[in-house]
Amino acid sequence: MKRCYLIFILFVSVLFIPNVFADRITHVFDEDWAFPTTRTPLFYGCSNSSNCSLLGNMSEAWDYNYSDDPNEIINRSYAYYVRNLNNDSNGFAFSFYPDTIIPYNANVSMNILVCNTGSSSALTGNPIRAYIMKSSGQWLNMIQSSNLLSSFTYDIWDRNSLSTFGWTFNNCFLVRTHFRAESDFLEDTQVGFRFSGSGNIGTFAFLGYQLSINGIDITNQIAEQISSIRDLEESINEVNDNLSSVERIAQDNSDSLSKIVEHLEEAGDPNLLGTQNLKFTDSNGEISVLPVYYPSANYFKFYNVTSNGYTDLGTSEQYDFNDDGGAIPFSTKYFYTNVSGKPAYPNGLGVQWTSSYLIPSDFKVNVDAIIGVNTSNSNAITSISKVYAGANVGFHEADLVSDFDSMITRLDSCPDSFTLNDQTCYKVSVQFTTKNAIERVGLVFKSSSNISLGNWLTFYGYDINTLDVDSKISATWRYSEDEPFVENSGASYALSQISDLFDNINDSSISTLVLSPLSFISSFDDACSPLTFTIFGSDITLPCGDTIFWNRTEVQPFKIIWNLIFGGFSLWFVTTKFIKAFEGWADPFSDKVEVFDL
Amino acid sequence: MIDIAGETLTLIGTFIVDWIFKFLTFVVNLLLAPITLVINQFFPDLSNALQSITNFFDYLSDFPPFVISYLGIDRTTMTIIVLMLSTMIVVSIGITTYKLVIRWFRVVR
Repeated sequence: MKRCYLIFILFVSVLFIPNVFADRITHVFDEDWAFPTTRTPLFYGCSNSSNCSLLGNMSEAWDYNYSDDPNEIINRSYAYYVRNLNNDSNGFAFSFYPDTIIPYNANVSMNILVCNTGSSSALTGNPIRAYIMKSSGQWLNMIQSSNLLSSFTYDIWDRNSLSTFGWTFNNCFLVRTHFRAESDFLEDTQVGFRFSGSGNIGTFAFLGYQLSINGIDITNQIAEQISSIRDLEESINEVNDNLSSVERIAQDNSDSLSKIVEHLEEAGDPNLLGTQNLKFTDSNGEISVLPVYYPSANYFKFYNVTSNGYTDLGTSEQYDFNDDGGAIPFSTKYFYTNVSGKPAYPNGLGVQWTSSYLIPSDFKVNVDAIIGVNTSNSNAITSISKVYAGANVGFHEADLVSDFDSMITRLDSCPDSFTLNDQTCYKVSVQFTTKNAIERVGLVFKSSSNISLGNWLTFYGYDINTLDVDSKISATWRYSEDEPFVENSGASYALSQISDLFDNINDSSISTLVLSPLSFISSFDDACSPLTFTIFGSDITLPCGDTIFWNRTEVQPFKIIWNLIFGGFSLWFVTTKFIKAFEGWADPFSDKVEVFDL
Repeated sequence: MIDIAGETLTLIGTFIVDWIFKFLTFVVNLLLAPITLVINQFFPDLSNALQSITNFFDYLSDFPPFVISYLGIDRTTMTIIVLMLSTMIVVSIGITTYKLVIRWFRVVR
């Protein structure tokens, strides 16, 4: 068993070993480096000590000649291919925009990382001079020792071979330079370095720079700025993609809607026969027009509602007749009850029809219907006692609606599409809110005097509007057969419910007390936050160890070794202790696990 | 690659610890609900006292990360250690709670 522990510890340790043996040049990539991304660096060949000619754009040269993966390389480096550059001691130069403004009289420290693939002797790595140029044009004459820069010093911090980006550089130099700015370095100011070198330089690469102004390292700020710009560019691209998707979806929806309309027009709605405009005189004596739906007989029925349930009265249809006595299908059609021989309806008459669309939950529904009764009693219908919804068969007073309200207005005249004797017509308006999705609507009419034998109850048609309670936007009804309404997918709904179950736990005092040791231990791997004490009225803040020591660049190699020794030992100690405890649980004679004896 | 492995390990460990907490909190809350109800209803001062102890533990929880930050231990290592410690305590508390329920069951029976 101990061998297993050893293997485990070795496995964890191996994670950290490669960093220990990494050479210093490689390790610099773990630090923050800035790369001039807004404008590409330029490369120059120097014919003499005071004149350097522009040879080209560094990144273009790299992409054109060698890169298998130009995107990756451009993101990390600039390079310029120079073969057999024999300029003797005059060497070559490159310049770039530092992507920041360096103020006048600032003490500047700039580290640059440059490499070449050619002869190791072709590039000595000694920068002869640093330059600045206040011009956006070509740097045809590199004027040495301008008065814009002074106190230039440099040293070669490291020199090694480096394999990166698919290239093997024979020489890499991390050059640390220091100078004082004798003028403001504005956005159009370039920094240039001229190197000595001769022979086959091969490919010259500029891999990045670090910049400190007056002792403050701003490399990270520049890198973050550039990263932010790239993130912004990606975000803009994503937004553009999303806009394209939205346009595509809108077009698809439009196409689907057109197809549905075509389908309805060609095949006809199975539930609805159509719409018509009912023209009638309202209670104020004004002529009104109400566009209504009128369902087919198969989806509409009258009911005698009793105290115990309902009785299906069936549905009859009657057509209006044209001049030659023939029926006009799909025109002035209505329904009536043939109540002859039927008992009176003390509990009211019901009508129910099937909506051809599913009305979702939490929708405000408004139904306007025109009904008529051929009775001499002008107050035959006084109220709507109930609204039914959601029943699949017949009437079921399911608890599917709330906020029910209704209003009945007696009309001065019935719709003029029909010729019926002694008709008294009413406009009924019903409002309610759906608590569940419903597909049927039913109404029960009450009257002051029974609608008795021989009376016809006519249902001319209805109009229905829905409004989403939350969004306050009129809903688009979904055609139930083509597009079933799905509010939540099963998996996401279940996961959200489980998450709510755990997240909405109200911790009681005793349970949090029981679990306090656990929460205390879990704080061990929390991120450190500075401790603040108030002593004699003044706040004293103790910074974290990471801030003042462990996160410093020069400490990183030591931190790795420290973790390997101290962290590994801690892990070994804790693991061996707890593995023993875990093994103890397997002891069948221990009462710690004997909990099943009832 | 090394960083990715360490971060992934930390992420998985943190995720496991987080859900161990949630689940155990749920179970303990469920089992101790009657006692909590009685304490809140009839012994509000006791409830305050228990809460004070909990607050004290919360206050103490600020110190371990501070001390560990000076020790320089890698966060992945700490996550592994915390995971093992949590597992130990979860099992202990879980078995103790389970025993408590069995004891109640015997009394009721």
